[in-house]
Amino acid sequence: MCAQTLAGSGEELEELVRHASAVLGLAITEGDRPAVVAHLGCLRAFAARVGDPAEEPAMVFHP
Amino acid sequence: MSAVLAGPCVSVVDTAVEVGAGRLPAVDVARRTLSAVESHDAVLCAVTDLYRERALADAERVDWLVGRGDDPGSLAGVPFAVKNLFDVQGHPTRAGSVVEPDRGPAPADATTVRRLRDHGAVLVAATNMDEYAHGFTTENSHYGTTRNPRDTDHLAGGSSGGSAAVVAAGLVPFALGSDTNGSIRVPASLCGVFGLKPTFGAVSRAGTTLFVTSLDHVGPLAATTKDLAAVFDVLVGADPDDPVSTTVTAEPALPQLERGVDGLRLAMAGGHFLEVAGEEVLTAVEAAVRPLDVHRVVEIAGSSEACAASSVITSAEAGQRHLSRLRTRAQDYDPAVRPALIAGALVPSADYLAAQRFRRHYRDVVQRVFQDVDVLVMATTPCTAPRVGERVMQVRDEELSIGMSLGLLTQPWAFLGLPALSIPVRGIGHLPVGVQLVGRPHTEAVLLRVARSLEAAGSTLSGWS
Repeated sequence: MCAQTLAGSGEELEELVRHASAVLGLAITEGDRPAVVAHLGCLRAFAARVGDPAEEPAMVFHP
Repeated sequence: MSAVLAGPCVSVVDTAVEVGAGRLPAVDVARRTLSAVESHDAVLCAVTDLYRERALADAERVDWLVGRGDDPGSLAGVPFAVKNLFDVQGHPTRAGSVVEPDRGPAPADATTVRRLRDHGAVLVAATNMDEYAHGFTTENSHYGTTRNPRDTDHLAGGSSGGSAAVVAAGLVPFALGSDTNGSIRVPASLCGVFGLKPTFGAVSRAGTTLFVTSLDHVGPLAATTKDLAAVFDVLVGADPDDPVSTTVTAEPALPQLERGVDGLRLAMAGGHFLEVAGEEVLTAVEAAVRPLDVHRVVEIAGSSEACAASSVITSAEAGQRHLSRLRTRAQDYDPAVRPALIAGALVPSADYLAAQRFRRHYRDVVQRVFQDVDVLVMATTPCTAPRVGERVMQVRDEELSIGMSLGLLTQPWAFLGLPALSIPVRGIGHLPVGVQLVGRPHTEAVLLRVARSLEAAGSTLSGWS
């Protein structure tokens, strides 16, 4: 799943990593960059699977 | 293959009885435990700190109370270890990292450590973990890889791998761990011990290094149900120092342990929980739970998505927690953890909030399941302990990333904050399998009753044989 997402949107992810890390002041080494992009690709794929449920969020969750 | 077994260790309950009666000096127990850790940990790499002076002083105090005829507590003289993210007064809290070299000694014990000490337990050691609890394998670039005592060629699991290993090896009868996505239950399953993730907020997190505020739990690992229940009963309770602590009072588990399972409605978790577990693991689980006579299988819609949402929340909160240090000391992080934390810090807020909304949705789904089920039964991990160095595991002809997938069966329950207990059972060859029980909030005593029934039926790997 993650690999498929990366294949379809690698440039978009690279751009997101470049932009967001600059905004947040994070210096990412060239050695780390592929792993950061891959991790973020997985997380964005996970988010896509979750979708956007209508419920209000449960930020601090007591069962 | 080589196994490491220091024991048989004396159980929590037996130690407390003998020490409390004055037949066994707590100092002797402490000395023997410290010696066993020193002898065996070179192979296991499970312990990062040995608290020799504190342990002997605490044990002497227990013996002094016994000598005076005072009550030394329900855990008198029982040695234990904690994952090295629990504060121990006078010692820096490592949390598996070297990123905070200026972190001074903890000013006080974590609430859980203090409660155990107040009941007579004797802290002897802190245990290895994945850096900042980020991982399922306890492969730590600073402190080494913790080996599985059942076979040291295999992983102990994580992130509370050191705590599971010291119990499985018989070095201590119980230990504390933390569980965000399965970090108590996964190593408990792989090492063959009992591991309890209590209801969210039932056991205080005050004085622990948090990983993910929304999802973190702390709980005990032990080698028998009786030991686990005795320790849980001491740990549970409200704590004003923990903002997520609940005021609901759980019923003591130990007095109910032998009540059996009559009247309880048990069901196997289907769908996702059958699809991501290996066939050999499922065979072992089915054989182990046969005495419970569970015939019903229930589907829980959205469980795969719950894992995805939990991963998003985990990464986003962990990334934010470490953002300032990632700006200034990024190269001091474990190279396996650093990119994941950086990626987490970059997660868009829309993704994070959608994951939190899904949490509410999934809770409603599971609440409906629990309207006519008391306990859900499933495997704890998709496979047995992987070999050290392996990066992928084979489950049903599919290769899955070990780092991403060992928690696929445990994640949904930390996500909802429900109590979940991993029970060690005979597995594949010499490696154990975990059976996971999940119940409604604050039903830890019920889960322990079911576990005790399986233990009494001979289905579990209890003790240190």
